[in-house]
Amino acid sequence: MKKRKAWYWWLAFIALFLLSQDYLFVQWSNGTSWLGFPTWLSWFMLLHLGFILVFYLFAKKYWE
Amino acid sequence: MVYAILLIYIAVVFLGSLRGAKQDATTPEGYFLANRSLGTLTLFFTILATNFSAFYFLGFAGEGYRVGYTYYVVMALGTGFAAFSFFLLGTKIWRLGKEHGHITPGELIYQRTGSNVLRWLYALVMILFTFPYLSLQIVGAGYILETITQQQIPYLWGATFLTLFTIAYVWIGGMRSVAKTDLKQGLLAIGLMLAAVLVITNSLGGLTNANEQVFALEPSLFNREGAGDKYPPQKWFSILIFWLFCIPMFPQIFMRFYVAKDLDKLKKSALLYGGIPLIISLFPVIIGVLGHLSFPGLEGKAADQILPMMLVEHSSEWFAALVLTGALAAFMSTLDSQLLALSTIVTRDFVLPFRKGLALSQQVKIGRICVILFAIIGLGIAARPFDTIFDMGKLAFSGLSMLFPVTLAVLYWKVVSPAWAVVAIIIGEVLLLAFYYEWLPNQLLLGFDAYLFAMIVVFIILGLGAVWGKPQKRGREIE
Repeated sequence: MKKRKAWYWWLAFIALFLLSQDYLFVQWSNGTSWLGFPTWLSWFMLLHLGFILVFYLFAKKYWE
Repeated sequence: MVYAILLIYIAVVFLGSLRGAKQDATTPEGYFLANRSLGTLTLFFTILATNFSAFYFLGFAGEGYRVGYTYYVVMALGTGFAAFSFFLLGTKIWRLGKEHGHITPGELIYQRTGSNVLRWLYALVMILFTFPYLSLQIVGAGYILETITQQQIPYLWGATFLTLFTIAYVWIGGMRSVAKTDLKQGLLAIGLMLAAVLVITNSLGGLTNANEQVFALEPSLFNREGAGDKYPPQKWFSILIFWLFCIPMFPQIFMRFYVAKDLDKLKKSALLYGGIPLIISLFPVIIGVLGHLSFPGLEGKAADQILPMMLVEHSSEWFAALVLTGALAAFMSTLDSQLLALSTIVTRDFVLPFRKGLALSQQVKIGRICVILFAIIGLGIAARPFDTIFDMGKLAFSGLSMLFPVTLAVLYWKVVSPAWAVVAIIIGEVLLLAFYYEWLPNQLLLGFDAYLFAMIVVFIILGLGAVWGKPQKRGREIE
């Protein structure tokens, strides 16, 4: 059971990493958005927040 | 005013180190590992402070200036991912350290493989590749003191002064004072960087306005690939996993895994470590990018000074002095940890195996002498920096990352051949240097970073060793 759970967590982290490889699925236009930051910056900030959430759950439920 | 701020800061740090000395400096575990008793916040800040350094203040801003906002993602998300290594390596390192009394990384390698040769090579690589990073802090201190005092303190004098001061409080206090200092310095550095961004953007008519002006002037700084197409897909892939491999291999970070009071403290520190870069990595990069409005056309190493230049240009004298003192705090908090880690490694891995039964006070004494020696070597390198802050750091980090496969193998694999591991590390480092100095054509890398190629080779050799090599024995317990 523990091994199976480990695979789920590995998959979650690999998925997060793949989402950081944005060139695989999106071509960003060059421009500015909120506070004048580049348009693509929000994507990576959200992804980082997603990583924190998954890592938190991982630490709480799996990491011993 | 500038000198008053500097003096107050120095007095506060020094008094802190005296308090640390009273508590711990009588045993190696006390002096080097604060008796393995650090709580979450102290542990987190001591890890963060050893990581965010001259590389953070000057290197991030300089690279932000040269490459643009994509560098923020490289550092924020990349170091965020590195928090995973706290689980992957940190948990086992902490547990084994507690069980067997390890103080240095080499002691763990020896206990798991029974090989002193592997232990010494591992320790030597850690020492050699920490020097470029160590000297960066001294370079940064020289730059800052030169700017803050408007050339009244020349670069080399400033660098020397900060080195001597750091030696003094590491000598007196050991790990406890280093960790306590890191907590104060970390908080100071983060708070002041936020204030610096607010003051500079305000002076430039607000963040949105300033960013849009830079976008009109240099749109490539807003490209996802960065100016000059610095991060095409292969580089992007390489750099985002890079920090996961190299950060835990910094000796000062590796040894932080030993000092956690319990696993819960390690976990909470990992969570903070994964999250905080989301915010703090942005500050120096913003200042670097906006630097194009006030100081266009800087190239190479000149861009490394953009942060102090922007502060002096856009804020009052006392405020610039205050922020740059915060920067000095960050450099010193990295330098002190590096000096302490390297001196511990020499004492425990190179002296103790030949001087069995060496009194604990003698070990501390040798460690202190090493602190002085390494600081002087660092100062020697800093006298003539050989590259930009970013590239000096990158070389150091890549060299250290070659130890990751061996560390992972000794912690998890059933069979590790020490002889093959020695060969693997040597080949990995040689390959890395061959690409760095272009003895081998970079076309071989197909666009990926050299460290990745070298690391795959290291893993393959270790794998072959596990199949064909002579398996490891367990080493004797560490004294």
